[in-house]
Amino acid sequence: MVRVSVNVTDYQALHAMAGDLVAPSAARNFPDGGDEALKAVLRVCKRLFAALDPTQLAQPVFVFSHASPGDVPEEELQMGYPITNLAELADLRDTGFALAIDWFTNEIRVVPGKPLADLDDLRSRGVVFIHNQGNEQLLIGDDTLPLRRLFPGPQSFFSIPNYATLDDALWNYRRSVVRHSECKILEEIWHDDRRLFLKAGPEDGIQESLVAYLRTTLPGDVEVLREQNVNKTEPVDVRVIFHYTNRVALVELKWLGKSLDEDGNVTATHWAGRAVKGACQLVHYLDEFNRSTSSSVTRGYLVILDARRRNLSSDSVSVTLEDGMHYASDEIDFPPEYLRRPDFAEPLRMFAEPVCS
Amino acid sequence: MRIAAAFDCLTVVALATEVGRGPTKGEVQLLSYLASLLAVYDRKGDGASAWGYTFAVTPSGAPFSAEVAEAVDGLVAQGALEVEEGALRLSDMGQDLHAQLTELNLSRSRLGYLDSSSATALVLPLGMVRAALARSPQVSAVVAAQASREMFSESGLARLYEDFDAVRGVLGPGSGSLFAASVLWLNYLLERDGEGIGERY
Repeated sequence: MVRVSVNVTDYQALHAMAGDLVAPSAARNFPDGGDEALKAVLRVCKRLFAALDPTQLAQPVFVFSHASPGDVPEEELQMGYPITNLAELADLRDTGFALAIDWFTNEIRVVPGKPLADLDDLRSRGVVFIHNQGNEQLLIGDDTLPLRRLFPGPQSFFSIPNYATLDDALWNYRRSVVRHSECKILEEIWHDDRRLFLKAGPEDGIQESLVAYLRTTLPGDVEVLREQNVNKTEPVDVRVIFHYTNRVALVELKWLGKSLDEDGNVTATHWAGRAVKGACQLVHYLDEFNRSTSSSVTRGYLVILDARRRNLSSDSVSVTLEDGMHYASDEIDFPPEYLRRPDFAEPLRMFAEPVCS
Repeated sequence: MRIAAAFDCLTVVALATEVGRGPTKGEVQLLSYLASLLAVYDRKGDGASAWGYTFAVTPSGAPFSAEVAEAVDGLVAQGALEVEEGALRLSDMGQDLHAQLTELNLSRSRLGYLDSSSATALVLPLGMVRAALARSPQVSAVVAAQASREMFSESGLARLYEDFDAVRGVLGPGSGSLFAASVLWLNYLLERDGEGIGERY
């Protein structure tokens, strides 16, 4: 990732970034019509994966839009048949298919089983999208741009889940992301491939992953902010603002387990008591926040990334199933007076499983 | 109800529902605001005053137009927009009204901005769009002042033009792609403040 300087427009960073992005690529490769072709492809892909389950597509799928619809070869115009209801494509999931879009008329034609023409030829004339067993990319002129998913889920970039509530998003984050650390950011917080120990100071990565997930899956009138002060000196890890209402959520993150530095020395060990301290801290933040902003309806969430393993010493390189999963169902007791508070959501412990031997 | 604001609401809802879930009221505000910024980008300064209605920033940092809010509520009351679990969609009457308004000269000039704004949400989740816009020179200047006030202040505009000139320079002076400008600028804002997500689209 290119880091760019704050407050001064950084031409170099912008240049570097433009090479990675799909919309500048379409504009650069096809100054006339590339923009429209890309938008047409993206919109059809969105509709396509709303209508079809990408996990059931056994064969590759191609979506193509010519940058200049007026120049499409006659034989291509005769290929396949027009389609309006993309759900009907479910019949072709075992053979694969290609969709050809005319962005000017919005007509879509489907050709079963093959990509209309040679891919090098197609990409030289417009925008090509390929979905093949969960791998997705756009071919635009000379550019090949992968559409990698940041989070696990349905096997398409275009099938990002959307949750109506913060509670739903957090529960799904626990189930689909934290459990097996299936997120590029979370992968980086581990000291070892078997997920026995965390790296020293994993807080940043945990926070970054959760914030990215919430921004990706919550509606656009929700703002997710990192490290926000509840008063002049004390920052809560994440603040979630539900714009155009007076609802605010404060999220405090804690991790449990052992962290090691690069030399393998233990830098911190946290057990259940740390989660309880986190709850106490959150209650304090809620009180402080409510004192300073009386107009908001606030709710506090304690999120605990639980990486505890039993019988682990700093030189362990593996863990048995019994020891690795020992804490998977070990719920933590919190002071009942906290749990009775209407503004204190039930703490959410997210157990991150190790790879057991 | 301002015609420009009504047209923008109907268009944003129509474009979103064409590919999936209808937008919330807040998302209509967000995408209309992004469209107004693309007009500023395209018209090199004339766009802010020519947009037809204004935006302010709420104390929590959200762009907000009273005209858009009034238009959405008015269109819902008239039956042109329907709301289901917070998501807006066009009724049959709303589709007719949208078709009629699209014929107006005023509307045709706005369509490109609204289309590119809505298309941006195909590659960047709306939460990311919001996070990026919160870091734009316009919004951050107002949030720093801790007050709800109108955007397009002189100092904010100067920084915005600087950003837009740089985006135009990278895309090439001949590039008229508002979609490319939108996607590039928003990704840039996210990474400028260390809020990038490790992937770019």
